[in-house]
Amino acid sequence: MAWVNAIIQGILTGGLYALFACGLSLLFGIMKVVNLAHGDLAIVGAYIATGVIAVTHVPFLWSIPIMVVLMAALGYALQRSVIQAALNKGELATLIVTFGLSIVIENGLQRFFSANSRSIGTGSSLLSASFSAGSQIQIGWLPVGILGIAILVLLALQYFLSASRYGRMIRAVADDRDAALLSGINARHVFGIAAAISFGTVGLAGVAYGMSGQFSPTDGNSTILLWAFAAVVIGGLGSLWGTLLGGIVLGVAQQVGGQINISYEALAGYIIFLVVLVFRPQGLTARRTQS
Amino acid sequence: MTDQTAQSGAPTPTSNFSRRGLLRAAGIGAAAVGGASLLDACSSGLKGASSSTSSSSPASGGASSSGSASGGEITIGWIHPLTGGLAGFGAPDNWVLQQVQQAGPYKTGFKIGGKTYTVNIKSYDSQSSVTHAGTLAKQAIQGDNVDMLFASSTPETVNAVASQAEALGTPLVCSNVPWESWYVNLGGNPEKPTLKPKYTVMYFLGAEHLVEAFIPMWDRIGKQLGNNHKVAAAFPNDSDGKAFSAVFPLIAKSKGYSIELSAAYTDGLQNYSSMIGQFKSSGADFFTNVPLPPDFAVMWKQSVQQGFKPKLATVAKVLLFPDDAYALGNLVENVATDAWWSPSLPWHSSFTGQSCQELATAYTDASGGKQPNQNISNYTLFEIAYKAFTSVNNPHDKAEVAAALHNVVIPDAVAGPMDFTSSKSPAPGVVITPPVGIQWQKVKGSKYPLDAVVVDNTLNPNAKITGDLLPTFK
Repeated sequence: MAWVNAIIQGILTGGLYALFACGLSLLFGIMKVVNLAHGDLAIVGAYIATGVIAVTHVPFLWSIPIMVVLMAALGYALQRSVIQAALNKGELATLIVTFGLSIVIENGLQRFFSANSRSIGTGSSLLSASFSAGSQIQIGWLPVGILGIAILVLLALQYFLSASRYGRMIRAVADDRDAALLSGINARHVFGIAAAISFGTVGLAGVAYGMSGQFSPTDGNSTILLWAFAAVVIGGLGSLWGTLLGGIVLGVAQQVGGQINISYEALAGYIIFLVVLVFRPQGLTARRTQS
Repeated sequence: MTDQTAQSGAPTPTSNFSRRGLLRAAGIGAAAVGGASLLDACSSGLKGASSSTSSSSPASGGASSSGSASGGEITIGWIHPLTGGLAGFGAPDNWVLQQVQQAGPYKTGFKIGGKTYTVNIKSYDSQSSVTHAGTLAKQAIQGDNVDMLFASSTPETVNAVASQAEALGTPLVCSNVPWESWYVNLGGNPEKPTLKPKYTVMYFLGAEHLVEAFIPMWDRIGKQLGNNHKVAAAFPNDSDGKAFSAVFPLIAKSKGYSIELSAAYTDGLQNYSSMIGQFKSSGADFFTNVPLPPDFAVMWKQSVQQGFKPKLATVAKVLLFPDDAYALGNLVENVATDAWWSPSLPWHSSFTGQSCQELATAYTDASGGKQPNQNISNYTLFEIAYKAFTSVNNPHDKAEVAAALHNVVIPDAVAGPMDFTSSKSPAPGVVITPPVGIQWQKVKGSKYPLDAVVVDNTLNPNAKITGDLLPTFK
């Protein structure tokens, strides 16, 4: 029973990892931008959500859509200004620029919000509510909700990419940029939209992270980015559903390792990461591009 | 640095694009390793420089009025976590620094052997990083030529500094570090405490005092609700966790409690289900731990979700400060912890005669209405330093100052009586400030969401009880 519980909890943790990872995977798949500021942007999303609550006094669930819109706007603006400028100079430049962004964001957050940890939605009974599944297994609604949101986000993204006009443009640019430009697509605008989606999803992930524990300015670079990369690598770069699979594999590996001995929990996740990297470097669901 | 290796590993598996793409991505990955670590080195250098702004005290007035010859300047460096995961510990530190510089000898200068020395205090932010704390200690000693160092708040800050201070021969006063962890780090054996650290002294408590403070609370709740004498304990694989897992089970056993110990977990986990499952099936009535604060938030939320609800949770190292408790809100109502300092203690500043209550009120006023923070006890770092410096002939003679530290006796200091010559201390260079049990409770009519209520003073009867002990979960 304990093992069943470990696998269930691992799958639920995987939902959070997938939320972190899908925006990273999207940006890479479309623009070949490895966004090293991805983890810090999740924390920015969490701070925006707390800020919205503090300023407007809306219930914390209401702050989430507002935050997603703000993050998407930030994503579009940053893409059109800083990241696009770097992209024009080549892929290496975007690495350096996003790394610089990461440092600026982390230190900026420390400056304005102090290094104290915060939590989102404290006082809400939702965070501690749970249900029983069998006599020994109790599952929290919050991780179930986070996994559900991750699946919804991926479904919505898949629909957007395959059915909408902008989705087709994004895929066209990802497949063959020059041909897409020749047929009159404004690549910068398309990139901006992709960045907006990526930032919006990672903001959601940041809020989920802030609800399941605490967040502070330094978490983005030290923990979140690492999980996101691990999930993307395990699942396969550029594949949307691969990020969910990658997140779940990572989560289950950690929990099963933890069930053997909790001191192996972190290690087990990295071992899976390494094994996939060595034996299946294209990831578990290899695709040329997402679609 | 571990995260960077993984970051750099990530861009490599891009082989699903094309062979050229693979080579290019691998190149980028390699560049990311080099570039990232290089930039990180730069940025940490910059951060280090900006955080060590000195805040010197204007001390010339005192020197001229006393008419004694000017002796020059004494430099003290204080290494403490002002940012990062341990920032809650450093929250009152800047206020404490201002407080000692406003009045008393740190304003007027130290009179040593007929000369008056101005005092310059440099504050170094460890950013809650072990390696950074050690680097800063080296920089302070070798670059800034400090005459004495302070290090405060958790082994993650203190131990690295203590190692450097002993190796490089600089007097060091430490606070807020469990003495066993501090002592083991300096090469001592807490079981046979014969080693006397040459340059380093400390005041705080030890793991044994925490368990001794928790046991009466378990007893009292057990009397109300039944007691199976089982305590679930989550101790991580770090220096505090190791010290606690060595000390807690022995002392608890002598009082009839058995400890259900989890395996030593790694700091920073995101899911504690296996541990929670173990605790649930053990049926333990009580819970104790010594985690890093962000880890506790994750672990406690999952405990509540997954149905581990101990009658009383007594936690160490977390919920010590108001901001940490507010961040978890309702979830930590009636969770108990320890306090090594509280405003009701009958001690006074040896500089100004202010009582603990007066200092607490001054802190609340200065910080815009914040609840008093028990790290106001760091005030005593300055009291010990003053006492040591004023009992030597040459304040720049580090060996002489270090020897004087071991002879400091202050009968009434903010953190409690300081007697480094006492035969009662558990090891040479250690003064114990015994803790009381506190609980975060909703107090009617209080302006704070949760109040730190003193519920048990078994170890330190000087502190006033301010509320009833309540069960965490009934």
